[in-house]
Amino acid sequence: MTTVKITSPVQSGRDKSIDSSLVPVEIVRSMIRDVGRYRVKDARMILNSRFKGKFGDIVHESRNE
Amino acid sequence: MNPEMNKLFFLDTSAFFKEYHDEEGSDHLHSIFNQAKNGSVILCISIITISEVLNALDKIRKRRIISASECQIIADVILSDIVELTEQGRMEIHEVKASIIRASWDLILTNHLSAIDAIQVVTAHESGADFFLAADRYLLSQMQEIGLKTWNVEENL
Repeated sequence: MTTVKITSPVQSGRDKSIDSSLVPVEIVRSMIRDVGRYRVKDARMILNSRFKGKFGDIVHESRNE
Repeated sequence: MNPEMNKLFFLDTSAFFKEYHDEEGSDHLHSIFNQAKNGSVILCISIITISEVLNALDKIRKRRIISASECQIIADVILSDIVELTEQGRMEIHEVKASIIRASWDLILTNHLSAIDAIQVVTAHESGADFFLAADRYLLSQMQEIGLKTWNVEENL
């Protein structure tokens, strides 16, 4: 197996100002259409009743297509 | 797994989804999300994970597994959960900066990772996470190579 080397200016760990690399939550909130109407159990119920595969496979497929 | 106070868990999208869909490894994700909500651990994701979540939901919508309205409900729920956890200081959403993209190019050519795999690896490395959680053996092996502790969430730690 080839050894992974990260040779860019990217620094590992939390020895730098982490705030500069974090996304403001408002960006995510702006994408929500209907706030607070449904809960996690509702999403699980839909997904568990409809989708019988693994989402990891869908993600893997998208990354490699 | 016992809670380790304020340990950082970086979630690859393949692990993240298991909180919302019951599949192999979901019990581990439910436990980790509960630990985050109880203030014991902090979750980290890349902003690209949000793109991948929406993309995966849209894929199963296009395959008529879920309807458009169901797709919207699920997206809203997951995004709301992310917002809530982030506002409580229990989740960090990491940007994909140019320096991360630059570092990922080396991994693509030398380690033959996909573009997104490489971005996830570099973002996890930069985040300083204590554990990298995924359900992809090759991706996990690459994380181990750079010294991150990994957990294949489809197996016991």
